[in-house]
Amino acid sequence: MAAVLPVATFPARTPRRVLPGFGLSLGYTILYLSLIVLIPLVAIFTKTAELGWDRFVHVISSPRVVAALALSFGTAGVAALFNAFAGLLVAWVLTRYDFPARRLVDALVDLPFALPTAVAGIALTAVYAPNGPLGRLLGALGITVVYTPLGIVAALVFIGLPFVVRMVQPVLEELDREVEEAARTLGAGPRQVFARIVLPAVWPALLTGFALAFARGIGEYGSVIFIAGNMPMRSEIAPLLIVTKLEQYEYASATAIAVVMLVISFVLLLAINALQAWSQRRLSGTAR
Amino acid sequence: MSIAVEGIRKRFGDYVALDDVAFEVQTGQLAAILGPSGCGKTTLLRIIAGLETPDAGRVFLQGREATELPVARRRVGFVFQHYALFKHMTVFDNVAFGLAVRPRRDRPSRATIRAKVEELLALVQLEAEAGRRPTQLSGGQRQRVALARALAVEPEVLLLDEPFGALDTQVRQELRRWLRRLHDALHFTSLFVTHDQAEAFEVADSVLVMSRGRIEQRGTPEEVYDAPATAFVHGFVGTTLEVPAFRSGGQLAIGPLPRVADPGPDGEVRVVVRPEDLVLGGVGTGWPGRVVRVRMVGPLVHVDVALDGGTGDPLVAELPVERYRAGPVAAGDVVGVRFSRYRAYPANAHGGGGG
Repeated sequence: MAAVLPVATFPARTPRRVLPGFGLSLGYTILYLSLIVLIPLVAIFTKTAELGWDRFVHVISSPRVVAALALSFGTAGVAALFNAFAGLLVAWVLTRYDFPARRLVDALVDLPFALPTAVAGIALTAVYAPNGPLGRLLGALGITVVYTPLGIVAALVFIGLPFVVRMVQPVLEELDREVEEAARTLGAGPRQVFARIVLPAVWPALLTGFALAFARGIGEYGSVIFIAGNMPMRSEIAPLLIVTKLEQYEYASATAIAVVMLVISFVLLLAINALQAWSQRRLSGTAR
Repeated sequence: MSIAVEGIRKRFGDYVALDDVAFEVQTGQLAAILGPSGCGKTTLLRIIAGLETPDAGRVFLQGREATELPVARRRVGFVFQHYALFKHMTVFDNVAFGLAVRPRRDRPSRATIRAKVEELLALVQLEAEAGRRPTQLSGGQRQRVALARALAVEPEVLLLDEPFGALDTQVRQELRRWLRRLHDALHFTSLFVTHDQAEAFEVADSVLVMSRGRIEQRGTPEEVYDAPATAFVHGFVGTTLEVPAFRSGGQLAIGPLPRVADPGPDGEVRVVVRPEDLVLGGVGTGWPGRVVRVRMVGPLVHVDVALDGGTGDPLVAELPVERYRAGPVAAGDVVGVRFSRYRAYPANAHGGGGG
């Protein structure tokens, strides 16, 4: 169509954007990102640089730091994975079925967002403690939750659930029921409809929810320290180790651990983003 | 008989969607369910497909009872108004879906699926679009993909729910003629739902007119247009003019026109006329009236006539241009109006509006 217009007779000019304010809004975006995110992060790096490379390597390769990092990322990963399943299920129930307390349950999902994390940690500890209602039951089965990595996972599951539910729920709501019905008339069973129609549609949102829950889990502090017991090498998370270092006035060591956490988190989140982009392109095929 | 239903009832809460519906569609026929929105036609189609369960009644497909049969085993093709394509799949994968989800022992080989899909895409003239996503296609193309997808599983009956409802007028006309040709070429049994009487008349062998959860009439398009069973059908399938009339002693009096024999109970009668059945003559040849306005509308001339003693708006007569030229009239002329054809219905029956 453009070829029909006598474009060449007009003097060349920069193309006009349909949405105004691009320059201004991008400027503000960068300004805010710099003030809120980038500058504090840079401060962490500059503080760490005071250590020098050898000291840095020494700090972050100490067994206690390595154990804490492994614990933080491991528990966050397990909890996020669990939440991906549980969150999908909760979102499914909230969107697919109408039951009397649906709105109440819907509101309950957000509670972990609102509750002070310390309160969550204390509540979970009370519930899962050997003399608590759930802890007694699990104890009978030989499972100890409190003061073990399992307790950390329990806290992170609690904290991370709303991320998955709130990411997946709108996508499930938007899903056209007729599309599933079409699949049914073509001979697909309920499981095939879920695997081939529903899951591909919610997959990107599910991945995002997983990534958010995972990221939140890595940084979570308040709820974990109450239930974890914080035994070095066993149930001490990296954020707590950072606080410990700060309390010992080892600021550079603290930021060194923070730098490692930042870099690993960034790489993992980037990988999840890439997986998301890839799956959006790739996961579509069925027959081939 | 390919499709038959009997005694179908369905209610949604207090709302009665279907009230004792029964009909059948002969093998190889293309039938239309015609009715205003909310008359239950889509619910009926969904019950036949197994997407909805009736409260009572039975469904037969190919002579076998299918009331309890799950959707996936009914072997019906279903085409949705809004296409319901799988957005995350290519056109090829959409069409292949029904074959790809078969249990392994019934599933055709990959090469067979490919050949079948390519054949269907050729049939719907979308070979070039095989690798595209539904979002990259126009509405008409999407509906053709939906049709190819439904045909891929070789259904015994094809059900179409307002298949052209979301398309532009021009694409719609093109596509419905194309559907008719496809139907004639492939000889499946089809049932489609529409609220557009022109669409039903143009495409279907037989038409079922529905209103308020009941079947008002079934017949060929000619039967339904020329001899509507109820005032509702008359009003729904074409433009309808209503003139006051009453019956007494077995005689029908339409305004000041000569009485005609018309057995039936005494009282008010609804007399309805099609605009093309109005005959305008000189004064004294019929019901006197005054011409209000004359307009050329394509091949027709619309003449608005206010009848003496007539209630409401002027009647609009539609005359072919030649007939108008044989006896032209102008605004202000006094004419006599006769009805070459009319139909009389009991005054108390429901209908009229509805659409």
